[in-house]
Amino acid sequence: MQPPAPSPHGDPDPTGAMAPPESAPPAIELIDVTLRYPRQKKPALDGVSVSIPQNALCGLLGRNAAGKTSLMALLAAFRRPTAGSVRLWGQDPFESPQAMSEVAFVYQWREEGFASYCKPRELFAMAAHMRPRWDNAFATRLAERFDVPMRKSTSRLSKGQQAAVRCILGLAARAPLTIFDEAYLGMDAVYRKVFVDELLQDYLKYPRTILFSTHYISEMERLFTEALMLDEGRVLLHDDCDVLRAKGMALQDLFISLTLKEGESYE
Amino acid sequence: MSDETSRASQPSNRASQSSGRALAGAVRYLLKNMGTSTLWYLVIFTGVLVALQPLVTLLSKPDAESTQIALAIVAVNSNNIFLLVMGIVYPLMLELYMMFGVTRRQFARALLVAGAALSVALAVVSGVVAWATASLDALALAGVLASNLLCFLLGWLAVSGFQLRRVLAAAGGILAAIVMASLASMPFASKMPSEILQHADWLPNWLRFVQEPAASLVCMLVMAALLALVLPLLMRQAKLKC
Repeated sequence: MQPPAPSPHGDPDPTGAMAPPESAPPAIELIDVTLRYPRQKKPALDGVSVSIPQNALCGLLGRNAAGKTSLMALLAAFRRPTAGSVRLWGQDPFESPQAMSEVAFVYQWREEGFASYCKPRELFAMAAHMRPRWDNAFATRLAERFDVPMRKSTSRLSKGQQAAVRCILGLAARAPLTIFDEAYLGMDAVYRKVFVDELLQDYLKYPRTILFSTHYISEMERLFTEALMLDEGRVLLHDDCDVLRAKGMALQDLFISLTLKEGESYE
Repeated sequence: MSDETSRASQPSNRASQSSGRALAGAVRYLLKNMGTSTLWYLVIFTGVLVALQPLVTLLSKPDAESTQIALAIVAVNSNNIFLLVMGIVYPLMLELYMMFGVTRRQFARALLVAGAALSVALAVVSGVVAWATASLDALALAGVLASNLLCFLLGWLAVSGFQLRRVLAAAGGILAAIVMASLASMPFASKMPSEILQHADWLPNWLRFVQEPAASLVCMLVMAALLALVLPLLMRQAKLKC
């Protein structure tokens, strides 16, 4: 296995993040990836080919059941593609201890899952044991900012507090690839703003590749360096956000115009 | 660029250290978690025994020695059931550990290490009880250790099929665990099934052979070794839902 190259030694980009050297392998590379679930006619992902450079802050956008979570599950090695190949820093992440330890996947865990029965402090302790770059002081500070009770099981927390716990697990892990799948769903507008500010500050201080799936496009689009849109398991658009902004295109408007189906309207 | 900044963004020039930390962390956390559960179990179990002892003595009026032996047997059986439950519950935490960057294989290894450590710890507890009552010899104590480990692995086997998300695999796992548990418990069964075994002409000879304590120990160790090889392979095929 080829060890991933150290990332940023290039010049800082306008957002302040450090650009990786041109020779560095992409953080994420999907080559003609198809994912089928049993007893489902349509594939969740259908021939997806994407390459995302290191230290990109990429927005993963798509309507419901577009294949966003499936794509993220492949990157986090929760699943294996039916066909095609997934590469993180040039290597297959599935059952790769090196790749897996560098990926933080933040998603809405199921209510019957064990994570729901853990207290935030237990989840943070697990992260401290297993995450090589875990910043406990940062996690504690964030928990105070989000008013997260540390000694209550997460299932007894409000939806917003549960979301805060997930977001803290993703941010304080400082993993070179951090994947947020609707991570802040349930937070109120003020906490979402706090989270976005913290994310941006931490990203500028510790640049890493972030893949962020959200339906709150207008709140997040100013942060994204890249946008990847999926529709019915296929790539609809993958472009540099600066290019889109230069064309005067707002991501939300573009998303709506591209994904609106026949007979649907959006005012 | 500051050292701190480069530390966060470098994916993996420290990759092997990171992955080693994930495995060691998983083992440490599992041991800590299982240790806490075991302490709770021991406290509750001791309380129940202490509470029940006068009642049992009063109702059955046995002599002191046979009461102590009965208590030692209860202790061994309870440990086995506790380990069976631990073997069922902990493998289901795979998704939780994968959230923290642990691979399926690393988690399986961590489970094996933690399960073995727990089996030894509870065998020591049984040994202490047995030493007090002088009811277990060295061979029987080794049998207790092997049965502890086997129970943990059988619990794991019972749930391994569910992680493959196939109905047949789930049913097969439970069935295989029941069959193996029956085979393993035969040598330690009470006299009646033992006598039945001796006079059952239709049974294969090897099953009669395992009536010997030493042979039954070997039989359990072989089963445990087989499961320790197969279960991590099954776990590698686990499908996660998110």
